Amino acid sequence: MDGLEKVSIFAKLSKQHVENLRKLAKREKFNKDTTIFFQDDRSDALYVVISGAVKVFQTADDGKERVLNTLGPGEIFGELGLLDASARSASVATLEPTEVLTITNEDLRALVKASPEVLWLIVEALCERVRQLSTETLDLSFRDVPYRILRVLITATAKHGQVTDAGTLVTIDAKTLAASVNCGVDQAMRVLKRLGDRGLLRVDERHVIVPDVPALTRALEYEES
Amino acid sequence: MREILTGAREAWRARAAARLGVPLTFLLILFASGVAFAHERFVKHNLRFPLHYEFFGRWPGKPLGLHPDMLMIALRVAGILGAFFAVWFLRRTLTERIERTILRSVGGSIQNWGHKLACFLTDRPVRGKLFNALGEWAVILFLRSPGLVLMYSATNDSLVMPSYPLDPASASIFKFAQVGLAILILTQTWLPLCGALIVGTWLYLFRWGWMVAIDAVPVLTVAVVYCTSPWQSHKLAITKINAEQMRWLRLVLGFGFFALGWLKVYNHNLVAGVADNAPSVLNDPMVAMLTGNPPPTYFFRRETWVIAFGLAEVMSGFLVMIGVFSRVWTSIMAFMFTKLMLVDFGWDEIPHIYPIAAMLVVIFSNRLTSEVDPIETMDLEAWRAGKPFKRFAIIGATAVVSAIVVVFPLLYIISFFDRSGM
Repeated sequence: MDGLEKVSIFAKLSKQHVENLRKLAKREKFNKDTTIFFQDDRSDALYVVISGAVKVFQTADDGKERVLNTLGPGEIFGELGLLDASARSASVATLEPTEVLTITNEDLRALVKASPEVLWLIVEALCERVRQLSTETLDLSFRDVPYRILRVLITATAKHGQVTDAGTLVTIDAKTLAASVNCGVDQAMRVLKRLGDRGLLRVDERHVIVPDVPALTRALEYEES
Repeated sequence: MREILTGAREAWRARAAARLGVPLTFLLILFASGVAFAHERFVKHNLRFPLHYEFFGRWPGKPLGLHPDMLMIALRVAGILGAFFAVWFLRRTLTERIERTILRSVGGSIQNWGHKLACFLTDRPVRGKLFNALGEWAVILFLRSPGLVLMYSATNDSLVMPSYPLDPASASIFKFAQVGLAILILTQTWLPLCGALIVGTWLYLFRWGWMVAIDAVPVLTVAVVYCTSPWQSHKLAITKINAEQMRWLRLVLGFGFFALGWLKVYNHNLVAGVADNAPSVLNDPMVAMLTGNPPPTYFFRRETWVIAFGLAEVMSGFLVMIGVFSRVWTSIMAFMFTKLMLVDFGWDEIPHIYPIAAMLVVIFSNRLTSEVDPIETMDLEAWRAGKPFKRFAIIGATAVVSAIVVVFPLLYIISFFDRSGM
């Protein structure tokens, strides 16, 4: 077994369907800092993260990036284009060595025909994205940068943080963090340093280590007030 | 609220259209007095040796009644046109294959630069700080370069181009008029008025015949942008042009060179005369590819060069006009014009900085569209439905029909006209 049945989107499928999917789907491994697809590419496949982490980002005409989301194991991406046949609305790049499952458009249609519940799972994932975007819009309108950074860190810790002896490790650098909350890298680094001074996290070049996740969550509450 | 805004916008447009009529009428009345006469004053074009006119006429018994060498050039042009069409529709498949098999395994900045190059070559948005800055700079140059050209022509006693010298009797009036228009352009004041004046000037060129007006069609590219700019243009930092403006700019620019190409084929004496006076223009790699690079002793060397030169311009103009590899073709054209300006003709061709600026705007635009987008949508639907035969039928039919229709009918018709006395 390769753990496919443990991926949330396929957890409700029968063994037979998972077996069929295993035959259809292609597993691909990507090195760190590899773009899986670019904004404006044709949409021809849906991806499921098996291991590792990816960032979903949009690039403006002047090259400025805005990170929309970071995704970890069990999460899907590239589903929008498959549903409405439009070009990719964002790029997806790996933050660390990542393994994904690729399901082509035709295979997904066949799968949905055989197991319509898969479509509901995709809709659920879409709903989560919409909720997240609504929250981000609210944050961008009413919250300041430290609050937004804390929220991104807490979400990333919960979604794909790795528990280590030193604490929960999240693969994210200051540039990605700044692009996630729409601020400058310098400002993001200042906030990280301030949080570090308070003992809430430790930062190296590409990682953030959170020794105490509940403490970080409480810090968010204080930023809110 | 929306209705009020729409109504206000429509009223504004009606007022703008009415205002445009005033300067246009004024300009036509002013110019109707007759102040300039056209001839090539700077770039010499007199034939040094007569052409073999039979080459351009009818050849009974030969396919299409054309000289075999002319037909061969036309077939090569049609072949290249067809190939470009086919590659255009397959460009995403090809670039995705390359990106997924090669660039993905490399990753990092090399993958990103490779992707940007693929986007550049296939008219997709190139997102980057430098590219964006160059695009903004190109728009600034494009919007102002007609002002520089007008200032230059005013100091050279000519109307817009050195090719159209002013009549000494009324030269001062037109010099002041040109400087006035140049000031409006350089200060970005009342751009719609500037656009109307340029359109009026172009219409006035018909006074010297339709060929002179066709020669100046590229001048209208900037008029499109001026006419669609707001009256309060002097208060705005215009560094971008929108997709609709870009589309019209591309259509006018492409049509200008498409028509100029046919004009070269039609008016072979003028083109061959330029080559007689500036033989370096004969050394053109694209033209050499079309003619098969005949030896200097070849009987119809200049004649084949004229046809190849003209049809090369027809091809590039047509592809820019319909938006197939616009960036590639405008890059080639910008290179050719820069070479003409800096190497072949020198300062006399300095007004060509204006079409070069228009080409730079196309090259660095991220708002390029194509007139064959509806066909591409059909192709995309066939691709998504997994119907390769339907895809290839769509692509093949479009490529073959376009290649034939663009090249052969007009070439066939022109061969019936005796142009030896032009």
